[in-house]
Amino acid sequence: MANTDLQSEFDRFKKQTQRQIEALQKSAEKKETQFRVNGFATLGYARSDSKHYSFLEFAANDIKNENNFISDSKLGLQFTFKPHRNVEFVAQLLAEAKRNWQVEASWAYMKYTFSPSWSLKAGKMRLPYYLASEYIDVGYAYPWVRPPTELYSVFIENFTGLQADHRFSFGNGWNNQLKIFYGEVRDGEPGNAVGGNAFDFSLKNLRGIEDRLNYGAFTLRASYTEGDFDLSVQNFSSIKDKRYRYSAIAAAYDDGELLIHVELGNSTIEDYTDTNRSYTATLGYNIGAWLPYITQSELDEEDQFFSDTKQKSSTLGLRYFLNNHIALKASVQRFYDFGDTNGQFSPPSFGFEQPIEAAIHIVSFSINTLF
Amino acid sequence: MRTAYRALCTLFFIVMGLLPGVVNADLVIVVNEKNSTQELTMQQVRNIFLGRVLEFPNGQAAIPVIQPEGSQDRRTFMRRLIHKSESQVNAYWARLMFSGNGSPPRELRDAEEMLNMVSLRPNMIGYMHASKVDHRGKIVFRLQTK
Repeated sequence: MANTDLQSEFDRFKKQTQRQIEALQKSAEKKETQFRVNGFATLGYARSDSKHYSFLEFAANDIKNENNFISDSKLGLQFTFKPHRNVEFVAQLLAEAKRNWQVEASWAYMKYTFSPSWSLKAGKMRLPYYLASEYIDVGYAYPWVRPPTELYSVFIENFTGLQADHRFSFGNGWNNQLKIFYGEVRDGEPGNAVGGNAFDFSLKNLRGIEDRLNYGAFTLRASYTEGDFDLSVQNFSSIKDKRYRYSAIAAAYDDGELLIHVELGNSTIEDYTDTNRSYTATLGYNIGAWLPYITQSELDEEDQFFSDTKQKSSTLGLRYFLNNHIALKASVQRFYDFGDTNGQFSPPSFGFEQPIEAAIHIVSFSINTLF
Repeated sequence: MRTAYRALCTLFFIVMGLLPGVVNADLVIVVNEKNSTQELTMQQVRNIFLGRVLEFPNGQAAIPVIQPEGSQDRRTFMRRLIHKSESQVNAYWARLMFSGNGSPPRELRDAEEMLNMVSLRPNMIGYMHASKVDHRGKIVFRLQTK
């Protein structure tokens, strides 16, 4: 009798414990179903010493021989909603001072994870042209005030479509991440339009591949993108259904002290581009919270549609982590060897007579935060 | 002679105790006891905690969890295993998070919560000082003390 009582008491206790464990397990599962907001912001300052020419193409907001807080300042917010273990919705909203703080979605996608090695994204995404293209607006994430413009100043940044992601490991610690994407870019999509002129363009059947190979501090990366390109500039001229190609290769090393980033790029539009090659190389060394670095870049572009662009630049820069959420940066850049072109600079008006200086310098500062 | 030896030993242990990272660096990586993983290499541990690899070598999904910023275990983990500062790792995760390539590990309160979570979730992997581990976690990697 007493034995049965003890048995039933034990069973009751066992059941209760099991229920408690299950409840704990459920709450642990639940913690993964979450809504997250993350953000980044940059306040930048830049000034050049060119008398008449201005840097990059954002018309009134580009860098000239005057104080400029507009060119590099921006604010981004990323909303992540994970209703299920395998499903994630992400929207990244970006407001840039140079676009009058107009809010645009640079990312808006749904991600489905099939397994730890396969996932698929559908929606609007950044094009992975170069190593840092996908996080080009997140100043805290890289050492430069702005990633080397000889490569990173691209004319089409986003696309809408699908992207498959496959990861695998081999040997002792080699990891590979392969992305394949397909989609399109439509006329006048905000965020892709170049200011100043009324451009009308589309990129259809956009398809590409990106591969990243990592081993410890080493990363090797290659990408190739192509699509059918249409462009018309109001009352000027047009390109119809030409093959647009973008390829890049990069090698990077980052062991926490030494930083090396070497990247080569090539982009062409069928029948219009004669030459287009660019490269950039950065060498930096972390000393505590400080990262002094040097960067050398070059762009050589000969084109039958756009104006030719030849340019070299040397950058001396410094990044300082004020804390784990704020990075301060400063750089001095020298742009030179423009050949008979204006490099990535623009004259104040069409048909402006005075030639560009032999060299132009830009000083830049920025405060970058993560939150 | 014997007293001198004893004094020397005491002195040795006092000095060792004053050198954090010498004796205190006995950090271990723990997983759920049902996880068939028996052992991980340092490179595999690094890859899992940096989100480069999303699974254990046996193919099971891996969910790393970390200790709070400022804790001794986390400082040892960052200095001895990741070889990067908190700021550098934040920059690393910013690159992944804002490009849709991954999100940083969830931060738990302490080793106690980590042990609880690891014991409940077969996919979880965490770290702590060897002295804090009990039957709730299985050790798959031990940081060599120098």
